Amino acid sequence: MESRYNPAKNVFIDSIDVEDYINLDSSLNAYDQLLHSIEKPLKMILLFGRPGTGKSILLNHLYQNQKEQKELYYFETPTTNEKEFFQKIFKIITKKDLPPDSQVNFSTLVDYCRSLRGEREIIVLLDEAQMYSQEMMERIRLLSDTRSMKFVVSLHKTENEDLIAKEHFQSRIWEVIELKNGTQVDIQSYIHKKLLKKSLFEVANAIKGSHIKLIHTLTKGNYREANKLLFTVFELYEYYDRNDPSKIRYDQLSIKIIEMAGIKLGYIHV
Amino acid sequence: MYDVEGLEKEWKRYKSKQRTPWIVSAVLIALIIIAIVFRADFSAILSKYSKDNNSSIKREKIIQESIPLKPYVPTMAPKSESNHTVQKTAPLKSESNQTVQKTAPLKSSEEVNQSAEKKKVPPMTIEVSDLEAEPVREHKRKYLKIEVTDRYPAKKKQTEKPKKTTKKKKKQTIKSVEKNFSKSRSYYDSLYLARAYYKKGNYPKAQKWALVTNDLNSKLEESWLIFAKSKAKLGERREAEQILSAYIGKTNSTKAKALLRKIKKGKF
Repeated sequence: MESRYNPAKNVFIDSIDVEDYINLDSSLNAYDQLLHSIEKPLKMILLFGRPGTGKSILLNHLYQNQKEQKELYYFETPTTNEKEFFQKIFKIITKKDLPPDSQVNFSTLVDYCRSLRGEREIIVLLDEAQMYSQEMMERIRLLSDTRSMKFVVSLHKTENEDLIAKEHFQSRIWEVIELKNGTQVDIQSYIHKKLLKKSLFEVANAIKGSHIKLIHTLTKGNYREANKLLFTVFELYEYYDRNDPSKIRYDQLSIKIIEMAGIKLGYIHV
Repeated sequence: MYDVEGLEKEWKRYKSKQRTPWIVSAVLIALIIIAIVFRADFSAILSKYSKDNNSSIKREKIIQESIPLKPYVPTMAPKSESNHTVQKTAPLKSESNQTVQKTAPLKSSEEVNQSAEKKKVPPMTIEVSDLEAEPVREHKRKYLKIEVTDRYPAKKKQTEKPKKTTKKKKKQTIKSVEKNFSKSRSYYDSLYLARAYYKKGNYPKAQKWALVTNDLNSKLEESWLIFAKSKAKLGERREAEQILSAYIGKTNSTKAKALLRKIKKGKF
């Protein structure tokens, strides 16, 4: 028999599935900003933020919402091989596969893109752009200079990657959108909305302000970390529900179990 | 699945670690509060304790002072001295014995509230002043020096002076104490005068000084007794009986009871 906490646990499986996208005040703001930016005649847009702040899901959400209205392409997985990357670009421009045993001539590609100026506006969404080499980034910039291609680059904000961002992107006149960790209110609405989306009202009601405060403290407002923590919490609940139900209350989440999950995930060092 | 039991143990360890600083700080705060709240009481207890110590030290001093009187006599009258001087010192012995006899029952029968006063009225004063024919306090000091005199013969000579006391000198002492009393208004002095006049047989004056003493300190039993005795000696037995029964009603003093019995039987 399935535990009542199993569906709650599955709600917090980390994914960038657009169905799991939660409209928060902060994410809505970022989305509007991004939408507004791609309308502008900008060459490159930088989506910037720490891992787990929702960059990928935001790009995916934009892609799913705008793919019918605009010529949008989403590169979810970064291509570290330059040849492979330009083959992909060739395909989206010409809408044809490159003949086997042939190579893309970059200068020819740039010339072709330049010829498309005013006719087409191709928008490419590049996720995990910190994985692209400096040389590749320079070529992407040259392609965007043709004004027929626009790139939305999503980039992790870590110490090293911050340097890359400064060197390769911030010197250009680009739009920069920064995503930040959620506030306590953001985390609360994120968790509640996620549970309510799956009609888990009882579980949502069992999560009170003190639990949110603890979850926010442990995860520092990071959505991915909050997903991980809550997944572990409900996994522990599932265990108690099956093996030792006297130890849990159904109407209120246990601080002890949240802390146990925190210990398990290394947020709390004993 | 996780090792939930292990996780629970880790959580308990984490909680105990988390609570430790709170417990320590709570205990410290409690101690500080206790220290602040009871500081006044502690100081009161300490001061009381120190007072008790001082009083016990004083008591010991009084005992020490009264005890060496007997062994002191031979030192005052060395073997080489003439028989005359020995004869003179003889009354000293008797006098000192008298004072010891006087004070001994006082110590045993006096009540707690009177003990403090007793300490302040050392029996020594009469004895020493009689010997030296000088004001009481000075004698007191000199007597303390006398204890050291065994090592300093020069000071022994000073103590030998009282041997030549005369009635004139006694009168002078009484006068000087009377003079001193007008300045000091001390009940030590007034009690001394009451005693001295009673001994001399000057009962009206003894009565007067006993009253003065009683005004200054109504808790001094001796002042009551001297007053009653003086009244009895002056033939005012009924008044003496009234005074004593009033005092017995107040303090239940055995000495006063004995005196009252004597007066009633006409043995006084």
